[in-house]
Amino acid sequence: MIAFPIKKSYTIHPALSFILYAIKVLSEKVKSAIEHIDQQACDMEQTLDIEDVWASRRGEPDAYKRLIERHQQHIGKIMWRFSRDPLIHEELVEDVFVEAYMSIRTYREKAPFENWLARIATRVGYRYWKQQARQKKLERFSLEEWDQLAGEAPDQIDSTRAAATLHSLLAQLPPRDRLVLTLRYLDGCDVARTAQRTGWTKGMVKVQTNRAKKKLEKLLSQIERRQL
Amino acid sequence: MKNNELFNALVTRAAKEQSPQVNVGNKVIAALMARDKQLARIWDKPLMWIAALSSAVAVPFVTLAVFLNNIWTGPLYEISKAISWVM
Repeated sequence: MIAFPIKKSYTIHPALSFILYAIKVLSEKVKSAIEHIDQQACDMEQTLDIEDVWASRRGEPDAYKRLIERHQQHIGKIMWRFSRDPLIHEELVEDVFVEAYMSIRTYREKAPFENWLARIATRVGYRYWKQQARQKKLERFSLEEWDQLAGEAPDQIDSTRAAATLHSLLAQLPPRDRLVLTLRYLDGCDVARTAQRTGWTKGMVKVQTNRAKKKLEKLLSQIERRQL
Repeated sequence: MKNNELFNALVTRAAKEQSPQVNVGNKVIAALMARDKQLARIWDKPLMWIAALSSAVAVPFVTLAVFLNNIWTGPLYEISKAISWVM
């Protein structure tokens, strides 16, 4: 009788253990095939991007339009963190692509085009926040809304409502702190990715994150005091 | 729920939010083309001024040249030149 790698504590019929083993092997094969297809798709997209970047440099508008169409949803997602006003959001997305076109000659094909665009998007969004802060255009934070959310079950909170509340809460912080917290918490970037997106060093990202966290804690304690 | 806990819960929920769909391809291309045209116009302007200045300098010279040519090749000038030589 062939012994298949199944825990000894279970007494399973050999035929069943063979089926389980076959399922396990098959699922691993399928998983690796999917990963391989994903990798191939990623490589293909990168190749297409590079071809279109070269064509855009030669002044072909259709090539740049293809690049926009491939990446606009990703950039749209990034810019939604910077402005939740649909009109401003669309303008910011446009600004990103205009700025990217103007500096397309500086793109080196070492990193994916998407990462390069994300960096430009972060710069455009951060500039927008700084501009808003200079003009003293503070977004209103509703304590009532916060209190309402505190009374709800965490998994029942609507994601749009949660994002809007966080957006207005973080808007009470200076743009630099707001940026690092948005990238680290909302976009789920690690230190390396945050450094890449902001153009800061990893050390600077860590320092800035700690400072921003302290300011956030202070802000949350202020809210607590207001609640009492 | 404490504020810190609420913050973390909101972060988890907000990460699942779908951003609105955007379609900016045509707008961006139009903006870039308009910008290119504007840039071309900016470059045209100095050339236009150089052309105007050189024309302004050239016009008196051409007028003077035509005037002198008319005098020196006119029949009266030829006669007066011959008479002055005889005398």
